[in-house]
Amino acid sequence: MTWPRVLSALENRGHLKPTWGSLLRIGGWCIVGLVIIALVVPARPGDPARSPYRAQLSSPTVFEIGAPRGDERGFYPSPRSNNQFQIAWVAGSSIQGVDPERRTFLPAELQHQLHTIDGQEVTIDIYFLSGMRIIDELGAVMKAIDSNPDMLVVTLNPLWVLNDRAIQGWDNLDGQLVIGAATSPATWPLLLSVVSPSDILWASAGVRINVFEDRYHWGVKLKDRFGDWSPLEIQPRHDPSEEPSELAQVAAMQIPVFFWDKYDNIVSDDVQGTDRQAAAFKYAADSQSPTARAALRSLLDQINESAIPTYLYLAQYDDEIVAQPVVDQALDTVEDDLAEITAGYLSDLMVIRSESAIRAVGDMDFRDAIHVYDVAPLTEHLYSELCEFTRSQGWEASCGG
Amino acid sequence: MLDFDSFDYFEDLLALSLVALPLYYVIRWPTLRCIFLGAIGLYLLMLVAPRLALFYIAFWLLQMSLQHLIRRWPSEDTRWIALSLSILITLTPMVLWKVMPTSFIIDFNVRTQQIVNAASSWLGAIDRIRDILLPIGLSFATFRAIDVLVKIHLDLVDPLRPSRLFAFGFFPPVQMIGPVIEVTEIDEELDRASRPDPRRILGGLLIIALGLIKVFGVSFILEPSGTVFSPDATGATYQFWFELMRFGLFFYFNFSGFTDIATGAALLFGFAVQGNFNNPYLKANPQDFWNSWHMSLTRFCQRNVFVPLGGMRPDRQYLSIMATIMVIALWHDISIPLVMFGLYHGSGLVIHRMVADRRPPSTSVWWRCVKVPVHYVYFVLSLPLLLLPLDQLGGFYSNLIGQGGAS
Repeated sequence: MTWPRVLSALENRGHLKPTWGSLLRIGGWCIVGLVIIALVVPARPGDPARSPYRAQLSSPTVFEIGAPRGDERGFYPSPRSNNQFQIAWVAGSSIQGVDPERRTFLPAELQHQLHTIDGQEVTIDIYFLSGMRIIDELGAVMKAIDSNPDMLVVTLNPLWVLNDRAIQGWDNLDGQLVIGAATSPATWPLLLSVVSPSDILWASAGVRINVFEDRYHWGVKLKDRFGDWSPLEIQPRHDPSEEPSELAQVAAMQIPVFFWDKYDNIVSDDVQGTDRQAAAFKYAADSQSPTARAALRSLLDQINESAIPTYLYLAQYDDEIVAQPVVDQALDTVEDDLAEITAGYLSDLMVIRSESAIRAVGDMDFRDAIHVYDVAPLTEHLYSELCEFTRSQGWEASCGG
Repeated sequence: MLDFDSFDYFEDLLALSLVALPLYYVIRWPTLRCIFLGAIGLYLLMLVAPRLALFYIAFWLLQMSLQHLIRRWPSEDTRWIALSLSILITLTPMVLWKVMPTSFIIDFNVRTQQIVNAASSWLGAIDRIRDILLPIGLSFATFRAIDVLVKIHLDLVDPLRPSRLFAFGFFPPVQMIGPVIEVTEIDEELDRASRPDPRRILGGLLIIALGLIKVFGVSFILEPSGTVFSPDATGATYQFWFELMRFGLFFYFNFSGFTDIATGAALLFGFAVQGNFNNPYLKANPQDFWNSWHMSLTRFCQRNVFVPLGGMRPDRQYLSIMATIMVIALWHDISIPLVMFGLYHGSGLVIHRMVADRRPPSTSVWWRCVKVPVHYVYFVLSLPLLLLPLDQLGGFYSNLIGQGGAS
């Protein structure tokens, strides 16, 4: 057995006696080592200018700050300046304009019109993750609150807000959940269901020791330097039309919901197109997920406790699909549930629009159930909404008349 | 999906140990200690996915029934029927997984998810955000369970009490990546419920540190050598050989590193489980190699295959060797390449035994210096059989003799 041999060697050659005292000394030296590391290794908060979506952001003061999958920092908030009015906007892909000729982000388009508030230039950090689910929104809101913005905008996706099919898509935000929930005991039951002991340990250690918080950064650096070397090269020699095996297809799925959608059918395979989307939406509305509701309540609690002025709204859903009575009814259910859950949170500081934006905006050109080609109609709608909100907060904004 | 990182499990185990260890040692009542230990293991499985925890609850409940079936079988003479039946039932999930991986893995995930969801929609929602899984740890659990069944059949142990079975079945350090411990390895410590021993705790911490160095220091650098098994890899013949040699080191350091973390974690809880590796690449012949490579599996097969088949008798030894190594091979997967793997190593062991029977082993250090690297090459040449499907083996070995058309 190895350990007696190792201990004997240490006892004989290193004069180490395994006693409680020696264990304490080892622990003490480990702490000293960590303190030195914390002092010596600089923080690596991530650079929002390196966003893959930079070219789609038409305003220089709007930043998409989502980190790549696996990066425990979650988001890279932009540097804060005193003479700027900072909006933190938490949203998934529903705020994207997907016109292939001109891909855009709704907040960037909006900033062109709403460029000053309270005499200060508006900057927007978009806490954006593609496929953002309700627990991801909670993590993002926690991180956003931590950066102390002047105002918060939260976009909820009607398909996913109360859907128990996938309540989380980005588990690299677990550390944010730990930090954000530390002072909110009401969030702990949800938190303990989602995060793991190592998330708690890493997040707690990362508060004081940058290298733990930034471990993704260092991991990538190490991988680039040492962990990626092979004299062999990969040159695809297979026919790309050759279909991979079913198991390989499962292995290639990036998130579990793809698997459940394919194999744990809520809709028959025969149903396709908008009918399929309608059925999926009906499932979302009917699922009555206690977990998603708990996450939504935690999100609202966090905002409430932060006292940051917040505008929260339910994103658009394809009006052609909503025209189907079954979907209209499902959307009604989601809106009613949202209104019921959020009722206790309405205040001067928090405006909540539990009706989907499609109800107010009307006809839009959708690529699929959620994504619009052109965000202009939504921009107009939210411009007017946010102008009203800023007025209600007593701020002067560049809102025309 | 389907590529669960064992380190995720161990980092949760180690993080949890910061809180769980003091509590564990505070508990002085053995039954409660067993329950606490099993609860830690069950919780760690829940973190991987509630559906995995559910599967193992069902698996070990079934084991409880089978253990009592063997013990209460009405006739001593026909008790072998109960044992055979129990082993067959225990092997079934593992065999199904290996014979029909696609449908088993899909059904395993879907059905267990549905049951979890029916039991609790909260848990169901949590389960759906966890990765799609292979039945992680099933091969280890299956052999651990069979070992207990055989021991009960031989009257070496009694059927495990529920608390004891809970601790053994969900023994946290070994659930993911072994070793294939025997119940007798932890039995005494469970009964003793001893106080924390600084010698064991320091030993555990050192072994865990050694494991972490192996996994993150050495394996990390060697890991890209896995490129050698890609059907799209291109390079010169010597580069394929070089990468195969590097991969052999990766294979050992990664596996033994995780095993060190597991045995170190067990030691923190006071359990001195047997090691799984003893410098196998420094061995000069197949027999010494297999006695020092994945030793817990080898020991299991020696106890339960080699000895019962009469391996200690000269006239049966070669057959027993072949059967033993074939079980070791097919434990990894049931496929033609793995049968070839078994035949390859079985032949090596038989030939070695034949030669060793006729000639005393050489004590020359120089001769050993030649044999160790030769044996290493002999072993790593079999790794493709372990890791590649049949249709890719020809291409792989062609690359090694410069006939792959890849350079």
